[in-house]
Order: sequence, then structure tokens, then C-alpha cells
Amino acid sequence: MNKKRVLAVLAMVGCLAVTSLAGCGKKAEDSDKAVKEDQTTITLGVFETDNITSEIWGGMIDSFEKEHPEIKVEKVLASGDDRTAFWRTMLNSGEFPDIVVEASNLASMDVFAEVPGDVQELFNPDLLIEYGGKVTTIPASVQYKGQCYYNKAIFKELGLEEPKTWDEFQKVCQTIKDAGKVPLMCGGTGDTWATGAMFWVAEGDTQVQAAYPDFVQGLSEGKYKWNNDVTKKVMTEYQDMVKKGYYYEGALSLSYSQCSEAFLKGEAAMLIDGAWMNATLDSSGNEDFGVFAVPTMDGSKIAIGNTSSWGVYKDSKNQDAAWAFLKYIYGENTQPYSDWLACDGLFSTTKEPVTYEMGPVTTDFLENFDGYEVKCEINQTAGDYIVPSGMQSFMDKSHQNTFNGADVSKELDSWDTEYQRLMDAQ
Amino acid sequence: MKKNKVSFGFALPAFIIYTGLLVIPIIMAFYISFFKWNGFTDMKFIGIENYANLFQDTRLGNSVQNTLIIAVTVIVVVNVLGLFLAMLVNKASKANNFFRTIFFIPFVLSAVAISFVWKSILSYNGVLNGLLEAIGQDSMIGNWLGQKGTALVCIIIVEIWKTLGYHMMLYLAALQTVPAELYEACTVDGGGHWNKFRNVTLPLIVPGMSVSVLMSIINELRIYDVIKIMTDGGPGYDTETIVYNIVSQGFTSNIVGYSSAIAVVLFIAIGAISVFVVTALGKKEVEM
Repeated sequence: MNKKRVLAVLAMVGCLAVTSLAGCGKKAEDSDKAVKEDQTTITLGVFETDNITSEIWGGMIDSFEKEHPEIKVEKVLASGDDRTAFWRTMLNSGEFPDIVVEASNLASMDVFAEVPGDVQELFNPDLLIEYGGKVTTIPASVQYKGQCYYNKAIFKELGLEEPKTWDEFQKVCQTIKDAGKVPLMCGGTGDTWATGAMFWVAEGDTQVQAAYPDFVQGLSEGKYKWNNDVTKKVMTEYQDMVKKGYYYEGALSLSYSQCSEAFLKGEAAMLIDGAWMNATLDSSGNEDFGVFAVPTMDGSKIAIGNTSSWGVYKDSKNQDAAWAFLKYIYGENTQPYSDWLACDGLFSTTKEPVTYEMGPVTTDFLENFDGYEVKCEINQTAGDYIVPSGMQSFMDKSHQNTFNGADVSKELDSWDTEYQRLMDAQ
Repeated sequence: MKKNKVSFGFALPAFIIYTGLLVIPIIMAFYISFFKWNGFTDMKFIGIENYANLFQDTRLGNSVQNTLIIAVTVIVVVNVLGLFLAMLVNKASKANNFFRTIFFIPFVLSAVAISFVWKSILSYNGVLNGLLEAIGQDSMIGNWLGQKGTALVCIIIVEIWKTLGYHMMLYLAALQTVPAELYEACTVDGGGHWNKFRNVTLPLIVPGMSVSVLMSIINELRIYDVIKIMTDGGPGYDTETIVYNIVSQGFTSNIVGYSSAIAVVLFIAIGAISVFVVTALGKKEVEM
């Protein structure tokens, strides 16, 4: 019994010692990066994905600190999949970072400081957005969405070519299905957006904006409704494709990671996705996949490209240091900016375009959009007419209902009801 | 007087933590529930409008229905099965110690971690369907998390698996308080296993049962983490629960006043149910 007690005490002491040593180690590590007396510390609010890793942010920060030793940058990492909610919580708790790299959804709420003229000058003026007459965010990058990645081996085996029209696209799907293979992959569980958001971007967003160029403004003024002929046609076709068995049977039981992995393993022939897939394929040197612009039902040629925004917190006490950081990244040394763009298949927004060595998939992706009119996604529209927060999440779930056979017209009616409810409540 | 000061000193940290993290947020939620507020701009007083809107919200109605289905099923199963398992492992032995540990392990694991594990087991190309395919039962392969009925059943199974060991332990603790003499007396009176359970075990474990039932009610009515990770409330709104709805309305849709109203009603409902259960089971308690 005594022996056991002694062992227990020793084990506890051991644990405490290890913890203490770990603490020492941490302290030592911290002391290397300790804030010097004349140093200003700024916080950079970021998020990470499979592509945008901690190394990318680390490289950006290290590069800046080397050139500007008087400023120390601390990374604040957003957790969870609802990052807007995370930044909101930080804002409400008084811990909002000095710079946030996802400013679009918060910009209309008067959170960010007006961008100084010398910072604005670094960017393509067409991409600068005003909120209440002031430019409060910088356009950091453009991300395209909604092209179709395909398995070259399956296409070759079945003698298929990249479709140029909606009918050809349907024929490709039917041929693949007739051959006993799965034409299209998508995801769903845990990642509701992975079910229908990319199809909506490729078909719905494009055709709605082709038919009603002022859709977002008209929607807010009651001139248009979500439940219109275009959306009804798009969502009916979407449901028909599911009913015809064009989609992977258990798609809604897969997360986005699982569905993209299954697609890369050849479990389905095609995946409609965003440009981040370019980076995944090109960075691994994977040449088994090609990409084509999804042909629209009405033949419209609109490319959906969203501008991501960065903002400096209006109540930040270190605004000068924050602007210095942005000037460095977007003007003085654009290598870290280039690395960031390359890692996620993004494109530059600066007056002097910043490029990177593009792989074959990224090159094809850009060529596919040649001659297309670039427009922002309806739900990501920035400026004075914005779709209320929560609408995208609602539509993602509605796409799942449609996928599972819900009445399309009733679903679209629910979009209008929810839109009005969110507008009234926010 | 000095003793009182010492007692107060010991209670102070807990008092500060509970007040700061529990009491004040509850009061604030109650206050905010009377306002139209998106979390950023000025708050606008709207009286009981948020509460009136609760009754017209079909999405909330669906969340309440899902929560009740999950809660009732899990509460019944974990309490019945928990008591059964506790009786099986009640006698001290190495084998029973082993099984006690095995049953209790899921409860000490992180809910987030086990949700990810179960998600990989139940996904269409996951372990379960792989096993079914391997043993030639292709017809049983299912889209478990992708359809309404099965997704809800999956959530219920994971929740039972996660909490069963905890309730078994609560019943085990209660069973250990039952004096052996009472069982001997029952045997002398000619009572069999059922009589012992019905007339000795059950009346004497009522206090433990109260705690177990109460804890299961509270836990299941505020279920969130497993849902968030395994299905994100989907497909559609098919597995959305009340707390998921509160978080979604408050943080995704920026309707903080309304989500606070839902939270206040849930708080009152859990409080009322708890009082009812404690009172009802309290009447069944016997004194030794």
C-alpha cells in the first residue's frame, strides 16, 4: 500500500516537474521573441486551411519583422468554421485584432478605420469599396469559384470532351452514369456549403446576375424576389440532376475534405469547386485532373470572383503600425503576398499585379474565364447593398433540402421569407 | 465571526466565477431579449416582440421537435441501460473494474474528438459501410448522416454511447449505498430477484436516480457539440436542436435579441422541468 502511495506521489511529482519544465521551455521560447521596450505590438487576425497554413502567415510575419524590427506582429487564429461569428465574439469581448484578414462581412458595421490615401494607391481603384462614402477595407485578393474539375482518365476512357454547352454537360453526365460511374461529387455533413453552394455559384449566381444586373439592390428595394423564373429553373435542374443519379449517392454523408478526397481517388468523374482546388492539384504536381468552366443553361458568360478584404480596426491604438504592415505586404516586398496568393489559388488586386508561377490547372482555370465578365457572388456583394449575414448559411441548408427532394418552389419562397426576416432583424 | 469570514473566503472564488460566468450573462441575456440588436449597432427596445415571434418560428418549432426526440430517447435509454449495467458491474471484481472503466471512457473523452471519430465511422465511405461491404451486406449500406431519419438516429446513438458510462457510475454509486442486510431480509422473506429489485433496490436508489435523470435532462436539452460537428444541423435543418438554433440565430444571422429570447425560454424550461423532476422523484424517496 505504502509502495503504491509512494509511486503515486512520485508520478504526481513527475507530472508537475514535466509541466513546470514545459513552462520553462515556453518561457525561454517566448523570451526569444519578447517584446522590446521600443517595440509596438500589433495583432493580425487570420484563419488557416489545408492550403493557407501557419507557415504562410509565419513567413509573412517574419519577413515584415525583419524589415521593421520596431514592430512585432502577433497572430490571432480564428477557430471554428463560422469565422465571422468568431470575429464578432472577439469584437464584443474587446479583443478584436488590429488587422483582420476577413473584413468583408464586418465592413458594413462600421468596424474598420478609413484606409489612408497612400495605402489606397497600392490597389486597383476599381476594387476599392466604399461603405457610407468611406473606403474602410482594402481589397486583398480575388478568388474565383465555380469551375468543374474532372478526372482525365475517366473522360478519356469514355471518349468525352470538355462540354461547351449545358446540353453537352448533361450528355457528359449521362454518359458517365450509363458507364456505371458517378458523374458528380459533392459533400454535405458538417460542411453544408459543400452540397450546393458551388453549383449555385456556377449556375444560379451567374444567370441571376445576367438576367437582373442590379439584383442585390433590387432585392433590398423589393423590386426582385429570390423566387423568380431564373432561380426556379436553376434549382429545378439541380434537383433533376440529383434525381437522375448524377450525384454521388452518399454525398450528404461526406464532409468537404472527404468528398474532395473521394473525387481525387476517382470515385466520381467531376467536382464543381472553387479555385483553391487549383492550388491543391498544382502544388502536388497532380496532372490527372483537368478543369472547365461550367456551361450555363442560358449561355451567359459570367465568372464569379469574390474580393476578400482586410481591415484595420477603427479603435486600434496601433493603427500606424498596422498600416505599415499592410504597406509592406502590398507594396514594399510582395513576396509574402505572392506566396499567400499561390497557396490558395488567389489572384492579386494591387495596381502592380503580383504573380506567381502557375501550374497547369491554374493556367487552364484562368484561360477558361477568358472573355467572361467578372462579377461578385450575390451573397458576398460588398458596399451599401449587402445581403444580410446568415442568408448564405440558410441557402446552403436549403440546397441540402432540395438535394433531398424538397419542393423547389417552397424552398425558394423560404429564401424570400428568410431574407426579409434577416433584413428586418438586422 | 472569524469562522464565518474563513467560510466566506473559501466560497468567494466560486461566487465570483459563478457570478461572472453564469449569473451576469443570464441577466444580460434576459435584458437583451427585449431588444432588437445585431450585436454591433445601437439596441432598440421592442418589448416582448422577440418572445411573440417565437411562436411563429417554424424553424424553431422543428428544433424543439428534434431536441425532444433526442432528449426523450436518450434520457430513457441511458437511465434504464445505465441502471442495468450498474447492477451487472456492482460486485467488486477485476473483470467488473475493467468493464466499469470501458463503459466510462467515452464520457471522459472530448465530445469534439468523439464526434469527429463517429463522423468518419458513419460517413458514406466510412468504417461502418466498409464493414457491411466486407461481410457482403451491401443492401444494408446507408447514407447514415445524409438523410433525416438516419441522421437523427446516429446523433441519438452517439449521445447514448457518450453518456451511458456516466449514468452507470451514478447508479453504481447509488447501488453501493443499499445495505446488504436488506437483500438478506428479502431472501429470508422468500423474495426473488425481481422482489429484491422492486422492493429494495429501486426505492433506495431514488436519490441517485433523481441526480441521473436530472443530469440527463439538462445535458440533452442543451445538446450542441455533437450536432455541430457531425451534421452541422443538417441535412437541411433535420438535426438542428434548440441550442444549435440559438447559436445560429445569434452568431451567424446576427439576431442577438431574438436568440437571447430563445435562450431565456430554454433556461426557464430546463429550470421548470428540473424542479418538477426533483419534486416528483423526491416523493418516492424512502428514509433508512
